Amino acid sequence: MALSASADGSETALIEQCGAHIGEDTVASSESVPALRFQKNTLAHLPVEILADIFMYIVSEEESYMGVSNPGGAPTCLAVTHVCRHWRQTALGCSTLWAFIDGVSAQCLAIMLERSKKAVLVVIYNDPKPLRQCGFEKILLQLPRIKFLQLCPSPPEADRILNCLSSLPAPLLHTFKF
Amino acid sequence: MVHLVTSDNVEFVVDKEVVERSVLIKNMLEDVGETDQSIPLANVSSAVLRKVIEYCEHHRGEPLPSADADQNQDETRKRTTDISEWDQKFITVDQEMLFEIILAANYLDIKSLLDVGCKTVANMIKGKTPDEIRRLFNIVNDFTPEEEAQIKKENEWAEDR
Repeated sequence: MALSASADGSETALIEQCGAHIGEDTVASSESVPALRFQKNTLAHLPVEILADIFMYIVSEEESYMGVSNPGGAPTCLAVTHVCRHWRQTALGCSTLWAFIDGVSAQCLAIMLERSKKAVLVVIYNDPKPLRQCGFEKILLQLPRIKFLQLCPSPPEADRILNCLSSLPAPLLHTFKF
Repeated sequence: MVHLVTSDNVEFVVDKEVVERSVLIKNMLEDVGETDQSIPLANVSSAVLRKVIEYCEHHRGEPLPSADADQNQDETRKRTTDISEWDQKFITVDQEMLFEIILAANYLDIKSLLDVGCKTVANMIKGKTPDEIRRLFNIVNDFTPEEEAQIKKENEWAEDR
Protein backbone atom coordinates (compact mmCIF):
# COMPACT_ATOMS: atom_id res chain seq x y z
CA MET A 1 0.00 0.00 0.00
CA ALA A 2 1.64 3.27 -1.12
CA LEU A 3 0.52 6.45 0.62
CA SER A 4 1.54 9.97 -0.09
CA ALA A 5 0.58 13.02 1.97
CA SER A 6 -0.06 16.22 0.09
CA ALA A 7 2.73 18.83 -0.05
CA ASP A 8 1.20 20.95 2.66
CA GLY A 9 1.18 17.81 4.91
CA SER A 10 -2.55 17.75 5.25
CA GLU A 11 -3.34 15.05 7.83
CA THR A 12 -6.94 14.93 6.67
CA ALA A 13 -5.91 13.87 3.17
CA LEU A 14 -3.66 11.16 4.57
CA ILE A 15 -6.42 9.82 6.82
CA GLU A 16 -8.85 9.78 3.88
CA GLN A 17 -6.30 7.91 1.76
CA CYS A 18 -5.78 5.35 4.53
CA GLY A 19 -9.50 4.93 4.92
CA ALA A 20 -9.93 4.31 1.20
CA HIS A 21 -7.18 1.67 1.18
CA ILE A 22 -8.58 -0.07 4.25
CA GLY A 23 -11.98 -0.12 2.57
CA GLU A 24 -10.51 -1.72 -0.57
CA ASP A 25 -8.64 -4.31 1.52
CA THR A 26 -11.76 -5.17 3.49
CA VAL A 27 -13.79 -5.72 0.30
CA ALA A 28 -11.01 -7.89 -1.17
CA SER A 29 -10.77 -9.96 2.02
CA SER A 30 -14.51 -10.49 2.32
CA GLU A 31 -14.60 -11.65 -1.30
CA SER A 32 -11.79 -14.16 -0.80
CA VAL A 33 -13.10 -15.68 2.46
CA PRO A 34 -16.01 -17.63 0.92
CA ALA A 35 -13.70 -18.83 -1.84
CA LEU A 36 -11.15 -20.06 0.70
CA ARG A 37 -13.87 -21.65 2.79
CA PHE A 38 -15.17 -23.52 -0.24
CA GLN A 39 -11.69 -24.67 -1.15
CA LYS A 40 -11.10 -25.98 2.39
CA ASN A 41 -14.45 -27.73 2.56
CA THR A 42 -14.02 -29.88 -0.50
CA LEU A 43 -13.36 -33.54 -0.97
CA ALA A 44 -9.78 -32.71 -1.88
CA HIS A 45 -9.05 -31.94 1.77
CA LEU A 46 -10.41 -35.08 3.37
CA PRO A 47 -8.28 -36.47 6.21
CA VAL A 48 -5.59 -38.95 5.21
CA GLU A 49 -7.26 -42.06 6.65
CA ILE A 50 -10.56 -41.39 4.85
CA LEU A 51 -8.85 -40.56 1.57
CA ALA A 52 -6.81 -43.76 1.81
CA ASP A 53 -10.03 -45.70 2.36
CA ILE A 54 -11.52 -44.15 -0.78
CA PHE A 55 -8.43 -45.08 -2.80
CA MET A 56 -8.64 -48.65 -1.47
CA TYR A 57 -12.22 -48.94 -2.71
CA ILE A 58 -11.09 -48.08 -6.23
CA VAL A 59 -8.29 -50.64 -6.22
CA SER A 60 -10.43 -53.33 -4.54
CA GLU A 61 -13.04 -52.90 -7.26
CA GLU A 62 -10.37 -53.49 -9.90
CA GLU A 63 -9.21 -56.52 -7.96
CA SER A 64 -12.68 -58.02 -7.94
CA TYR A 65 -12.35 -58.34 -11.72
CA MET A 66 -8.89 -59.83 -11.48
CA GLY A 67 -7.90 -61.99 -14.34
CA VAL A 68 -10.85 -60.75 -16.37
CA SER A 69 -9.84 -57.15 -16.87
CA ASN A 70 -7.70 -56.03 -19.71
CA PRO A 71 -5.95 -53.04 -18.23
CA GLY A 72 -4.72 -50.18 -20.33
CA GLY A 73 -2.96 -46.95 -19.32
CA ALA A 74 -1.70 -46.18 -15.85
CA PRO A 75 -3.00 -48.16 -12.87
CA THR A 76 -5.52 -46.17 -10.80
CA CYS A 77 -3.20 -46.12 -7.80
CA LEU A 78 -0.72 -44.20 -9.95
CA ALA A 79 -3.37 -41.81 -11.28
CA VAL A 80 -4.38 -40.66 -7.79
CA THR A 81 -0.76 -39.77 -6.98
CA HIS A 82 -0.75 -37.34 -9.90
CA VAL A 83 -3.63 -35.15 -8.68
CA CYS A 84 -2.07 -33.01 -5.92
CA ARG A 85 0.51 -33.29 -3.14
CA HIS A 86 -2.00 -34.24 -0.44
CA TRP A 87 -3.36 -37.11 -2.54
CA ARG A 88 0.14 -38.20 -3.54
CA GLN A 89 1.40 -38.29 0.05
CA THR A 90 -1.72 -40.18 1.13
CA ALA A 91 -1.39 -42.77 -1.64
CA LEU A 92 2.34 -43.23 -1.08
CA GLY A 93 1.70 -43.89 2.60
CA CYS A 94 -0.83 -46.62 1.87
CA SER A 95 1.14 -49.78 1.01
CA THR A 96 -1.88 -51.98 0.22
CA LEU A 97 -2.86 -49.56 -2.55
CA TRP A 98 0.16 -50.77 -4.54
CA ALA A 99 -0.35 -54.47 -3.94
CA PHE A 100 -2.55 -55.24 -6.97
CA ILE A 101 -0.18 -55.68 -9.90
CA ASP A 102 -1.94 -56.32 -13.20
CA GLY A 103 0.25 -56.50 -16.30
CA VAL A 104 2.27 -53.38 -15.53
CA SER A 105 5.54 -52.45 -17.24
CA ALA A 106 8.95 -53.33 -15.77
CA GLN A 107 9.52 -49.86 -14.36
CA CYS A 108 6.00 -49.64 -13.03
CA LEU A 109 6.48 -53.06 -11.41
CA ALA A 110 9.59 -51.77 -9.65
CA ILE A 111 7.64 -48.76 -8.32
CA MET A 112 4.75 -50.91 -7.13
CA LEU A 113 6.97 -53.48 -5.42
CA GLU A 114 8.78 -50.69 -3.60
CA ARG A 115 5.64 -48.77 -2.61
CA SER A 116 3.71 -51.88 -1.54
CA LYS A 117 6.43 -52.42 1.10
CA LYS A 118 5.47 -55.68 2.86
CA ALA A 119 1.81 -55.82 1.76
CA VAL A 120 0.39 -59.10 0.47
CA LEU A 121 0.41 -59.09 -3.33
CA VAL A 122 -1.91 -60.06 -6.17
CA VAL A 123 0.11 -60.45 -9.37
CA ILE A 124 -1.46 -60.96 -12.79
CA TYR A 125 0.32 -61.09 -16.14
CA ASN A 126 -2.08 -62.26 -18.81
CA ASP A 127 0.24 -61.21 -21.62
CA PRO A 128 3.66 -62.89 -22.09
CA LYS A 129 5.23 -59.70 -23.50
CA PRO A 130 5.21 -57.50 -20.36
CA LEU A 131 5.99 -60.58 -18.29
CA ARG A 132 9.11 -61.18 -20.39
CA GLN A 133 10.09 -57.51 -20.09
CA CYS A 134 9.68 -57.54 -16.31
CA GLY A 135 11.43 -60.85 -15.88
CA PHE A 136 9.47 -63.45 -13.96
CA GLU A 137 12.41 -63.94 -11.60
CA LYS A 138 11.80 -60.44 -10.22
CA ILE A 139 8.18 -61.38 -9.55
CA LEU A 140 8.96 -64.76 -8.03
CA LEU A 141 11.40 -63.14 -5.61
CA GLN A 142 8.26 -61.71 -4.00
CA LEU A 143 6.66 -65.15 -3.68
CA PRO A 144 6.68 -65.16 0.14
CA ARG A 145 4.14 -62.31 0.07
CA ILE A 146 2.12 -63.23 -3.03
CA LYS A 147 -1.36 -64.65 -2.40
CA PHE A 148 -2.65 -64.73 -5.98
CA LEU A 149 -0.41 -65.38 -8.96
CA GLN A 150 -1.56 -65.62 -12.55
CA LEU A 151 1.06 -65.76 -15.28
CA CYS A 152 0.94 -66.33 -19.00
CA PRO A 153 4.48 -67.32 -19.89
CA SER A 154 5.91 -68.75 -23.11
CA PRO A 155 6.47 -72.58 -22.97
CA PRO A 156 10.23 -72.47 -22.14
CA GLU A 157 9.57 -69.92 -19.40
CA ALA A 158 6.76 -72.05 -17.99
CA ASP A 159 9.16 -74.87 -17.06
CA ARG A 160 11.56 -72.45 -15.41
CA ILE A 161 8.73 -70.83 -13.48
CA LEU A 162 7.52 -74.21 -12.22
CA ASN A 163 11.06 -75.06 -11.11
CA CYS A 164 11.32 -71.79 -9.21
CA LEU A 165 7.92 -72.29 -7.66
CA SER A 166 8.82 -75.70 -6.31
CA SER A 167 11.98 -74.38 -4.68
CA LEU A 168 10.69 -71.14 -3.12
CA PRO A 169 8.55 -70.71 0.01
CA ALA A 170 5.05 -69.44 -0.72
CA PRO A 171 3.22 -69.39 2.62
CA LEU A 172 0.47 -67.02 1.51
CA LEU A 173 -0.11 -68.30 -2.01
CA HIS A 174 -3.64 -69.65 -2.31
CA THR A 175 -4.17 -69.35 -6.07
CA PHE A 176 -1.75 -70.00 -8.88
CA LYS A 177 -2.86 -69.98 -12.50
CA PHE A 178 -1.05 -70.45 -15.79
CA MET B 1 -35.19 -40.27 23.67
CA VAL B 2 -31.78 -38.64 23.32
CA HIS B 3 -31.16 -34.89 23.06
CA LEU B 4 -28.42 -33.79 20.66
CA VAL B 5 -27.19 -30.22 20.20
CA THR B 6 -25.39 -29.28 16.99
CA SER B 7 -22.55 -26.81 16.39
CA ASP B 8 -25.11 -24.15 15.34
CA ASN B 9 -27.01 -24.72 18.58
CA VAL B 10 -30.02 -26.60 17.24
CA GLU B 11 -31.46 -29.32 19.46
CA PHE B 12 -32.62 -32.65 18.04
CA VAL B 13 -34.59 -35.20 20.03
CA VAL B 14 -33.93 -38.62 18.57
CA ASP B 15 -35.00 -42.16 19.36
CA LYS B 16 -32.28 -44.03 21.28
CA GLU B 17 -32.36 -46.99 18.89
CA VAL B 18 -31.79 -44.62 15.94
CA VAL B 19 -29.02 -42.58 17.48
CA GLU B 20 -27.18 -45.65 18.74
CA ARG B 21 -26.15 -46.43 15.18
CA SER B 22 -23.42 -43.96 16.09
CA VAL B 23 -20.84 -45.92 18.05
CA LEU B 24 -19.60 -42.65 19.58
CA ILE B 25 -23.03 -41.78 20.99
CA LYS B 26 -23.78 -45.40 21.94
CA ASN B 27 -20.58 -45.52 24.02
CA MET B 28 -21.34 -42.11 25.53
CA LEU B 29 -24.80 -43.26 26.61
CA GLU B 30 -23.37 -46.47 28.06
CA ASP B 31 -20.81 -44.47 30.03
CA VAL B 32 -23.22 -41.81 31.28
CA GLY B 33 -26.31 -43.98 31.69
CA GLU B 34 -29.89 -42.67 31.49
CA THR B 35 -29.78 -38.88 31.27
CA ASP B 36 -31.94 -35.97 30.12
CA GLN B 37 -28.88 -33.87 29.45
CA SER B 38 -28.16 -32.86 25.87
CA ILE B 39 -25.14 -34.29 24.09
CA PRO B 40 -23.20 -31.51 22.35
CA LEU B 41 -21.95 -32.36 18.85
CA ALA B 42 -19.48 -29.54 18.27
CA ASN B 43 -18.32 -30.90 14.90
CA VAL B 44 -21.73 -31.40 13.27
CA SER B 45 -24.07 -28.71 11.94
CA SER B 46 -27.86 -29.04 12.04
CA ALA B 47 -28.10 -29.47 8.23
CA VAL B 48 -25.67 -32.38 8.36
CA LEU B 49 -27.14 -33.98 11.49
CA ARG B 50 -30.58 -33.89 9.85
CA LYS B 51 -29.15 -35.99 6.98
CA VAL B 52 -27.32 -38.31 9.37
CA ILE B 53 -30.52 -38.93 11.37
CA GLU B 54 -32.42 -39.59 8.12
CA TYR B 55 -29.84 -42.27 7.28
CA CYS B 56 -29.92 -43.80 10.76
CA GLU B 57 -33.72 -43.89 10.80
CA HIS B 58 -33.83 -45.69 7.47
CA HIS B 59 -31.30 -48.28 8.65
CA ARG B 60 -32.84 -48.63 12.13
CA GLY B 61 -32.67 -52.18 13.43
CA GLU B 62 -30.09 -53.41 10.93
CA PRO B 63 -27.12 -55.23 12.51
CA LEU B 64 -24.13 -52.99 13.18
CA PRO B 65 -20.85 -54.01 11.52
CA SER B 66 -18.56 -55.84 13.93
CA ALA B 67 -15.22 -54.35 14.91
CA ASP B 68 -13.25 -56.94 12.93
CA ALA B 69 -15.40 -56.59 9.78
CA ASP B 70 -12.75 -54.43 8.16
CA GLN B 71 -10.05 -56.98 8.71
CA ASN B 72 -12.20 -59.76 7.30
CA GLN B 73 -13.02 -57.58 4.31
CA ASP B 74 -9.35 -56.97 3.68
CA GLU B 75 -8.62 -60.66 3.86
CA THR B 76 -11.34 -61.71 1.47
CA ARG B 77 -10.92 -58.61 -0.70
CA LYS B 78 -14.60 -58.33 -1.39
CA ARG B 79 -14.90 -54.60 -0.94
CA THR B 80 -17.00 -53.42 -3.82
CA THR B 81 -18.27 -49.95 -4.56
CA ASP B 82 -21.88 -51.13 -4.90
CA ILE B 83 -24.37 -48.87 -3.10
CA SER B 84 -28.01 -49.75 -2.48
CA GLU B 85 -30.66 -47.77 -4.35
CA TRP B 86 -31.90 -45.93 -1.24
CA ASP B 87 -28.38 -45.06 -0.10
CA GLN B 88 -27.54 -43.83 -3.59
CA LYS B 89 -30.52 -41.48 -3.58
CA PHE B 90 -29.70 -40.39 -0.04
CA ILE B 91 -26.10 -39.52 -0.88
CA THR B 92 -26.97 -37.60 -4.05
CA VAL B 93 -26.02 -34.22 -2.56
CA ASP B 94 -23.62 -31.44 -3.51
CA GLN B 95 -19.91 -31.96 -2.90
CA GLU B 96 -19.77 -29.79 0.21
CA MET B 97 -22.59 -31.75 1.87
CA LEU B 98 -20.99 -35.05 0.81
CA PHE B 99 -17.76 -33.89 2.45
CA GLU B 100 -19.60 -32.89 5.63
CA ILE B 101 -21.53 -36.19 5.77
CA ILE B 102 -18.29 -38.18 5.42
CA LEU B 103 -16.64 -36.16 8.20
CA ALA B 104 -19.70 -36.47 10.44
CA ALA B 105 -19.92 -40.24 9.86
CA ASN B 106 -16.24 -40.52 10.74
CA TYR B 107 -16.63 -38.39 13.88
CA LEU B 108 -19.83 -40.11 15.03
CA ASP B 109 -18.36 -43.49 14.12
CA ILE B 110 -21.16 -44.68 11.82
CA LYS B 111 -19.19 -47.10 9.69
CA SER B 112 -21.89 -47.97 7.17
CA LEU B 113 -22.53 -44.28 6.41
CA LEU B 114 -18.82 -43.59 6.12
CA ASP B 115 -18.60 -46.49 3.65
CA VAL B 116 -21.44 -45.07 1.56
CA GLY B 117 -19.65 -41.71 1.43
CA CYS B 118 -16.27 -43.24 0.56
CA LYS B 119 -17.78 -45.50 -2.11
CA THR B 120 -19.55 -42.51 -3.64
CA VAL B 121 -16.30 -40.58 -3.92
CA ALA B 122 -14.50 -43.70 -5.22
CA ASN B 123 -17.15 -44.05 -7.93
CA MET B 124 -16.65 -40.38 -8.86
CA ILE B 125 -12.89 -40.93 -9.23
CA LYS B 126 -12.95 -44.27 -11.06
CA GLY B 127 -11.78 -44.18 -14.66
CA LYS B 128 -10.83 -40.49 -14.60
CA THR B 129 -7.49 -38.94 -15.46
CA PRO B 130 -5.71 -36.75 -12.87
CA ASP B 131 -6.78 -33.66 -14.84
CA GLU B 132 -10.42 -34.73 -14.83
CA ILE B 133 -10.25 -35.46 -11.08
CA ARG B 134 -8.78 -32.01 -10.41
CA ARG B 135 -11.54 -30.33 -12.40
CA LEU B 136 -14.26 -32.41 -10.72
CA PHE B 137 -13.16 -31.60 -7.18
CA ASN B 138 -11.74 -28.14 -7.83
CA ILE B 139 -8.26 -29.26 -6.74
CA VAL B 140 -5.24 -27.07 -7.37
CA ASN B 141 -2.23 -28.72 -8.96
CA ASP B 142 0.36 -27.80 -6.32
CA PHE B 143 3.25 -29.97 -7.47
CA THR B 144 6.71 -28.45 -7.61
CA PRO B 145 8.55 -28.57 -10.97
CA GLU B 146 10.66 -31.45 -9.60
CA GLU B 147 7.55 -33.42 -8.64
CA GLU B 148 6.02 -32.68 -12.04
CA ALA B 149 9.14 -34.13 -13.68
CA GLN B 150 8.86 -37.27 -11.54
CA ILE B 151 5.16 -37.60 -12.44
CA LYS B 152 5.97 -37.27 -16.12
CA LYS B 153 8.51 -40.08 -15.74
CA GLU B 154 5.99 -42.28 -13.92
CA ASN B 155 3.47 -41.78 -16.72
CA GLU B 156 6.05 -42.81 -19.30
CA TRP B 157 6.88 -45.92 -17.25
CA ALA B 158 3.22 -46.81 -16.91
CA GLU B 159 2.62 -46.50 -20.64
CA ASP B 160 5.77 -48.42 -21.55
CA ARG B 161 4.01 -51.73 -22.15
